[in-house]
Amino acid sequence: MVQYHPTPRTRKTLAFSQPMPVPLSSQKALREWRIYLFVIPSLFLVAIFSYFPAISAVYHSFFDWQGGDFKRFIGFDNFTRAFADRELWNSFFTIGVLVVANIFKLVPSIFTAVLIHRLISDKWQYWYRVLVVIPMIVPGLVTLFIWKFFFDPNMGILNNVIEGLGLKGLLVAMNDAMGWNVFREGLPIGWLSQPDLIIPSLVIWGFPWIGAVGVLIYLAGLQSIGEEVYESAEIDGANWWQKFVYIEFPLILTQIRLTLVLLIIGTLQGFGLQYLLLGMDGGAGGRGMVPGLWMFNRAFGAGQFGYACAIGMILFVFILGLTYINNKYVRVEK
Amino acid sequence: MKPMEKIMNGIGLGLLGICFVISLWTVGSRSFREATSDEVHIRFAHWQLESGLRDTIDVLAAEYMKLHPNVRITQMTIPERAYPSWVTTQLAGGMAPDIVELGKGVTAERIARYFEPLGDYIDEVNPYNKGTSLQDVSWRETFLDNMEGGTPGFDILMEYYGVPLSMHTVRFFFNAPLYREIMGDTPYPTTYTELMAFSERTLKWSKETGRNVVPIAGSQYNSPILMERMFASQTQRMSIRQDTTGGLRIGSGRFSTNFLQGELSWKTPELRSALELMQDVCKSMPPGFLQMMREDSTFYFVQERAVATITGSWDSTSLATQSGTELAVVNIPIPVPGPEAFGKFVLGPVSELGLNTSMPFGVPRTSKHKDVAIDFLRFLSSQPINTQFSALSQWLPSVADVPLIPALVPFKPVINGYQQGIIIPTLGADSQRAYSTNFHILADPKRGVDAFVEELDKRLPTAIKSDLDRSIKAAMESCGRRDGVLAAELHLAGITLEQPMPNQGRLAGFFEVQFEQERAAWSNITQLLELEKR
Repeated sequence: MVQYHPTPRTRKTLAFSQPMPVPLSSQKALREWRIYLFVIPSLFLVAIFSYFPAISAVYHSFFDWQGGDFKRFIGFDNFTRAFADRELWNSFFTIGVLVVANIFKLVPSIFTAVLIHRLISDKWQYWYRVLVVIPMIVPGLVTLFIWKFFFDPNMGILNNVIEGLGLKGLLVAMNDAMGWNVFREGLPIGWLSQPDLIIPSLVIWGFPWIGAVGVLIYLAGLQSIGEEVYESAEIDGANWWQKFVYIEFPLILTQIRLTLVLLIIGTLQGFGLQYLLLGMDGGAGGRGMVPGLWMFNRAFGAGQFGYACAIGMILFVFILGLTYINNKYVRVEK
Repeated sequence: MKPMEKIMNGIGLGLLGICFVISLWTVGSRSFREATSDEVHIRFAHWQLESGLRDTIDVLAAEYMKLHPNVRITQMTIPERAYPSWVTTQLAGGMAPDIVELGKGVTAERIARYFEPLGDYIDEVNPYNKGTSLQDVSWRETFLDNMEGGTPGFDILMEYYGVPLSMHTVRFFFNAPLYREIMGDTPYPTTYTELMAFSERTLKWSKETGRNVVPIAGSQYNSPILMERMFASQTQRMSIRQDTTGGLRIGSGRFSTNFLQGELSWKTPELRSALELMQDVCKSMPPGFLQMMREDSTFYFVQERAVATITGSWDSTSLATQSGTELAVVNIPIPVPGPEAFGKFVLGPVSELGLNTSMPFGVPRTSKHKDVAIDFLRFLSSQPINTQFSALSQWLPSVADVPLIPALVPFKPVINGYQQGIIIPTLGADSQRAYSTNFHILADPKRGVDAFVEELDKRLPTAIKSDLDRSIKAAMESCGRRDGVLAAELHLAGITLEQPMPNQGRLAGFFEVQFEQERAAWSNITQLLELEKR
């Protein structure tokens, strides 16, 4: 069993207590007005690069605009059209499935962080952290292309592993029993060319789903847990699982909530994976279409920039809603 | 703060300061140099990452810079897939390079809006043709197609915006040693029946030897090229019936509207046969080819996992370099007219006489050095430089009287033959999407033609309407944009609308185009309205 031994760093962290921040009085704030000048360049850049495009998108969503100097005000027509756009709502269904799958894909990162945290040897803890971080150095595009190659029906590793382990026969038998029409004897599995396999492929992507950033965030949370908490748990006779359920998991919920928010926003906004694996049309049957890709498709494929802006607005409202729900209901009780 | 911390902070701040000063110097000195010196910097953007082409352009740019020491030319190569969004944002932001390759996101509508019309330049002779057979010929007429291929959407714009540098034909590439290993002394296929015999023999050989080799390397990129040719072979006779104007060419717009009006349907025997033929061809491609991209099919071919591939002359150097083996280049075998398989609706081999030039470059209106950019394009499209371009890059030339190097002979356009049939009715992005996202049904041996037709019938009409609607808007905007220019030209020429239009060359041509475009747009509007009523 892996036992917990606090690292010297943890002890050091606990030894220094930070002074409480004192609220700034309005008089003092006015007296020190010069310091606000330092914020102006950053605010200026944020306004230009973040707020201006967003405001421009809101403005253009009310126009029939093909990306140039001609535009015609059409009120809420783009939004009305979007609400009747079957493709858009199908893409929201797809993204919904991916969001749920991605939430489950957080679990391996949490367990990896806990395992690294519980390692007795500082040296090994360090090396495992390095091992987790190394894949971050590989550019995302390279990872993506490697995975694309994994999915190749004829040469890909995935089909070779399935064939090698003799799982193909089982899949074909299941296919025949369930009437899926995706796994066939004598034909390699077309992970990205069979509509019904596209969403499963997107879910499988990134296996074993250990995200370096997630692991580091959880590790930071775990390392702030005081030694005395573990000592008390040991006196109470808590086993390794109880320590996880009653100590570690509740105390890293702040970090989990943060990653959850980032994950939901990232999944809803993202379309690079689908674009590179499946193309602008979302692959066979358009099954890989997600709202971001549909927005891109409408803007750069069909030249309907105004409508794409309206899709962006709808996406924004969705993300805002989900973030609100997440903040309101995923509460951290301390 | 401890002294050590102070020192470290000081070092950090110092490093930051040094980096800032270096960056400031780099940017500032470049801007200063550009502002004060008479050096002209021309940026030249394209998506052609194929082997040999970039080096060729570098060589030719260096020659131009030797002739014009105050000019600096920088080549910008953007990956094909990123090009449409990249170029769109560059143009919309007014930051586009001085010379931009047209196509891939640079639509007719964007060309009219963002690019410099070349009408005032093309009737003059190209000075770089001095001492050649083309020295007294206008720049426009030095091109093999009179420059028509230089402007995507020329039939809408009827103005010259682009200078084409090459021409492309599509061919079958065979791995010659592998072909001989499988087929022995059997000649390369020239008909569809022979192609299928090769395909069957390869699949059998693959099973017998366990070598896992497929007949044709297919992908999302190259299978549509083959499918389009096969489809068009079945519509050759039909296109003559549909061609009421005698233009020997029916655009996908006409085909699409005929489709919407019910004049054509997937039950039409020729179209049905075309779908069956495409399904038949799918058997020769690797399973799951619809998920593969361009690089995947190239990989299959160069790794000897496929005996043949289909692509354009633009890929010939890359394929030869990467495969490192003897390649055979063959015309695309289509069915033979007559009782043979799929021969009932075929007229015969397709002539490539009507082929346009390609790889066109335009000059954005925002360019600070338009004249130099146009001059560089004149240089590239002159007979001696285009000869050099063709020899170095092994791409077909776009200019007349340029001799072909032996490696390019198989790609020389076939002159004899019949007209191309109608191609698949993909008018725009939406109908293209309706077709391509459902193609997997046709490729699926367990589903096939009926299931594909059922799905297309559900999706294609709405998609065609949406594309038609967009094309009407683009045409009307284009007409609107030209109205003011034409009114000004009329005013300058002292002509009033009451007078009959005199035959004033270019002006009369502009009016003809304007009327034709308006007529076509209104005809489409009427058709759409009629369809709405039904």
